Amino acid sequence: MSVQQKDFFTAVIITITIFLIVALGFILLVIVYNHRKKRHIEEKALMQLTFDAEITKTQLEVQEQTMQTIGADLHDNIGQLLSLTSLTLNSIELDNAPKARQKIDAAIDLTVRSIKEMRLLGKLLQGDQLIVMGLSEAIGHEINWIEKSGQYKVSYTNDGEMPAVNSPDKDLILFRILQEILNNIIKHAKAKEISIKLDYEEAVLQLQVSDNGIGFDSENLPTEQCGMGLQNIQKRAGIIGGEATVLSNPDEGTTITVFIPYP
Amino acid sequence: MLIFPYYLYAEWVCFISALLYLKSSDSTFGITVKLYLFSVVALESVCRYVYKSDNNWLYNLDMPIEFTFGIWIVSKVVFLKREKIIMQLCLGLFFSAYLLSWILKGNNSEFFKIAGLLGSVIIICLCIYYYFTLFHKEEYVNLLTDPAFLFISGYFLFYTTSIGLVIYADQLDKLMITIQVPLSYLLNDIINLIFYSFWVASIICLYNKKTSLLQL
Repeated sequence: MSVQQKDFFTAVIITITIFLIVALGFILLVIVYNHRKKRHIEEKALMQLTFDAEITKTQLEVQEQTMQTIGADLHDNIGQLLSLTSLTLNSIELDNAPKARQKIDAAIDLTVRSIKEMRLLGKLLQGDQLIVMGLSEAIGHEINWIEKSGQYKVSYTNDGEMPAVNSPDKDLILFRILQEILNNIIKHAKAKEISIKLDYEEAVLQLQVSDNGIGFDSENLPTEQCGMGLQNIQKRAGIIGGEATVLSNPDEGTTITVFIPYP
Repeated sequence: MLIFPYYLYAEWVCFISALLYLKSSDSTFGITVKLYLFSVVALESVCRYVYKSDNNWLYNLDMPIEFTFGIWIVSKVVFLKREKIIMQLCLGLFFSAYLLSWILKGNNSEFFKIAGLLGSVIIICLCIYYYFTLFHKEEYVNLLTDPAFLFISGYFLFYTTSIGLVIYADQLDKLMITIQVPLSYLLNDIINLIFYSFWVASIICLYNKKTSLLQL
């Protein structure tokens, strides 16, 4: 082999080797990318599993809390009312007609209050069925119920078109959050007006509930006062990837806003 | 050491694998692959044992079969949206270059470099397009056992590296590494061994998955 031939030989070998390396490199790149895709898919599936597990856990917690509320209300509230009704009815002396009339009226009043409390409890159990109609409709139903009491002026606005595909799990949790907020208002806020706003924009669903009640100092709220209610709201919002903010001042009412990625 | 005619053995192994493992495969695909591989082994065997020299005219005659099959199979596997139009366009380009080579050479005794190069480039482009479709695929496929990937990668490696062989075809035939063996034979051995290894792997994967390349 002459020097010229050797040079040519080297040049050809180098050229073909470079082509081979480039081609192999490209194939390797595809394989590496594909492997990363596999890892990404696995991570996504794991996250989805974790998310589903969290959702289930939250739903169970919500269910457990609902049951506890029902149990406590049955025992402390309705049970007491019915015991009182029974006592009142037992103490009626038919010989004394005017007194008997008073006691019968009191028993009727206690019975009416028991029925109201029963309805309140019934409403708590309704959430799962209500949410089937859609979040907005379920909120509307809840508002109807509050308005019927005649003690609150409730305004409800629904801005932004809801996505075509909904997320029943998130809907239910958000609806439970709303119920929790409304229960807090009814029990503690002494409010006259309640404003509920549902807004959907850029894949974020926002629920805002404001009242004109007595409010509280949200900046310096002691932990024990913060109550399970507010903690639960924040915890539940966090589980579905969202967050809840509480803005309140004494005598200035309270505004709770929940943001969640949706659907 | 890899010395001629190992590439011929590789082709025979691939052909026999196709006969053995593509029995239950889709009829169009199975029959076409077997016919194509038969044409390859027949051509190479004739060139090796009958027309040992001045056999470029045989390779030139085989070239349309090689690239028509290549363009057809890769287009089908890549599953192009406008598969027929792109296939016709690629074939049109190749046959234009083939006719041009024929006219320019004036005879059939010299290897049609232009047609060979353009055919290789077309198949390389189709292969690269296939890889890009893989990038955009949502679902994960185990590429190391994916017949389509192995098949296309064999083609990609073969045509990318054989571009150099086509360019230097004349000089390589004259450059001897031993008294009787030109450099082109050694390089052909290496490239073909890689190429047919991929294809044999692809055929075995097809057999294991009981499917056809055209159904993937």
